[in-house]
Amino acid sequence: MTHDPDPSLDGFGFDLPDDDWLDRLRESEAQLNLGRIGSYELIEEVSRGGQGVVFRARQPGTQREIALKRLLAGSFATASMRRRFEREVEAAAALNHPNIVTVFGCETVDGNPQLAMEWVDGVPVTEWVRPRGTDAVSRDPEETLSVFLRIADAVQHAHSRGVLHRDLKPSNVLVDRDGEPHVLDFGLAKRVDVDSAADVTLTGSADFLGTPAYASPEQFHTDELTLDARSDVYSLGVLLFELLTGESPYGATRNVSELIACVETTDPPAASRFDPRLGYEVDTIVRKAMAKDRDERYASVAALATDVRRYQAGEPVLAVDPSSWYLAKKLVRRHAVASSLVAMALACVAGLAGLTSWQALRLREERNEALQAREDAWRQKERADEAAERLERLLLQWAAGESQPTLSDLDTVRMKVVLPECLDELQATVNPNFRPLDSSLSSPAPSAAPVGDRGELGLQGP
Amino acid sequence: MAHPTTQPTLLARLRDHADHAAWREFEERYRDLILRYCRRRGLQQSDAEDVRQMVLLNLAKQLKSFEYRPDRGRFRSYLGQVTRNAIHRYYRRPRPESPGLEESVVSDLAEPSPGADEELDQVWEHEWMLHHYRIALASVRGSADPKSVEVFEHLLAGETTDDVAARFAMSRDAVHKVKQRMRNRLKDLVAQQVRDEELS
Repeated sequence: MTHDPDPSLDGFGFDLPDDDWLDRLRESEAQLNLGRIGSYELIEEVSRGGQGVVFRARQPGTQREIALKRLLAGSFATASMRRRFEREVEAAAALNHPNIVTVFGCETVDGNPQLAMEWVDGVPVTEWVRPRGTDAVSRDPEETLSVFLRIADAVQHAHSRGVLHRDLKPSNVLVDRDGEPHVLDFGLAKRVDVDSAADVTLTGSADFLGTPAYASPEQFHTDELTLDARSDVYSLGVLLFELLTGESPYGATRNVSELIACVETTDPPAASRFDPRLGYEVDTIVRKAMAKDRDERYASVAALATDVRRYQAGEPVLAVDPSSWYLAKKLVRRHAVASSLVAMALACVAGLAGLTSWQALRLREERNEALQAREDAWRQKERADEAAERLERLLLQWAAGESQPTLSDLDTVRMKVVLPECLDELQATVNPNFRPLDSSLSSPAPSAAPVGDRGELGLQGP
Repeated sequence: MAHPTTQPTLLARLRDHADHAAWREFEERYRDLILRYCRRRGLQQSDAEDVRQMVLLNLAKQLKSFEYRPDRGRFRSYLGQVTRNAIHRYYRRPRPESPGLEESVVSDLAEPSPGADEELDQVWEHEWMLHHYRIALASVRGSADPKSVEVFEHLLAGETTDDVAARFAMSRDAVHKVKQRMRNRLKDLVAQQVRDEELS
């Protein structure tokens, strides 16, 4: 097929002599002279989005390389919108923070507003977290969190100077080769326009105009002027989710109107579902930052950052409802060595206590048994003494011929019990080898004995 | 050279609006073509960027409504027409401010005079050809044997066959053979690209 004449290749010049053919190739790759915009000499186009185009450019005079962001013509519907934009850019230009891209100035060239900014040679933070060629999140969550904290600190710095970002998303956070994040485009965001966003959906080209995936729910409804720091807290929450999981909290490949519906109503899944290294504390932090109702979010970016730091330090995270079990667990985790010593000591004490109480129990049992035995013995003796005394009195009365002895029923029973014992004792004293032959005689059996026959004793007695 | 795969071509995939990857791929592939054409038409870089954006939006709309019908013409003619229309509309758009001197000069250059269509078509065809060479070159660099690519780069940079032969301690004949192999390879690739572009 290589040398067959192919009509579709007419005009390509594959039949030209070598040198002419090579010229074609050279022409195809010749750099377009980008020319200038205003006084800036353009070097290359870096990126493009719904807002406009970014060039790498050279500043006249200083020859310093800058990023030139050229906004689309017609970016502002009214003169007052433009004035506010300029005021915001001024405020952003006044920010001075190592993790915020410096804005040099703003001007209008050929009807398009444009900004000159510090040039950052970096990649979007989501690309940094997943270096090219890998699908999985490969950064250690700790490393990711520390970069996230620097981003949050930069945003907090701007907030403390009255500048909201309103469009925090991966392409606005570049990470340079040293792993240092740079947040750009403070105050540049326009209000997310639901109508035009829906229109974009119809054209199916949402990618070209940006995505509302990072916009807070209130950004779709609230006047731009009533947005506050919590809107940026939300966007940072989405960013944190994506950095840790490698996924958008609302899933991939959605069109804009579906996405907006998700942002407004769908709760994001737990981040730990995507990466088991993350725990429920991270889930809770992300969820609190991404709460639909801004009153339920962290009140400030600083509060969010503080909680992430608490998590890093193993301290109780404020987003988690403080149960005593959770707090105790955190305490144990935080002081692992001390905790194990305490645990050992506790185990010893518990062991000793167990042993002691077992012994105490044994002792009490034995004491009770002994007491019982003594009491039994005492009662026996009492009964015997009483019976003997009565018997003695009866015998004396009878011997003195004072009266015919009478025995109450009770006496009868007692006599029946006690007399044999007395007899046994008597026998034993006389003959130590004596053993009672009839056990019924030697053991009390009151219930078995017939009651009420007065004559018994008398018949057997004298 | 492999024949077109049974996978849907990029154009077919573009009809599926959920296929964002296809749109990215498309934009990556055609943005230089559109930009260069605009620049050839005398637009400033920033204007060319705006037009490119418009072209992609229009394309998205039209592909969705199936206004592009492969049976009615080649994609390259269609894309050329969409781009020319976008340039035309760009200069008819309402301006926030009155145009400066520079801009009106550019407008005059960009506005086609009656009967200039044929000439504009030729500019487009030429840019379209260069566009396919660029893509094929990038592809060869990524896939051909590195030694051959290196030899070829030096030829592309303007060194003579003798220079390159001396540099790599090769015979003139061997350098010629590399050149021929690369030409055949590029030809196959371009033919494939052109076929894929029309299969949708």
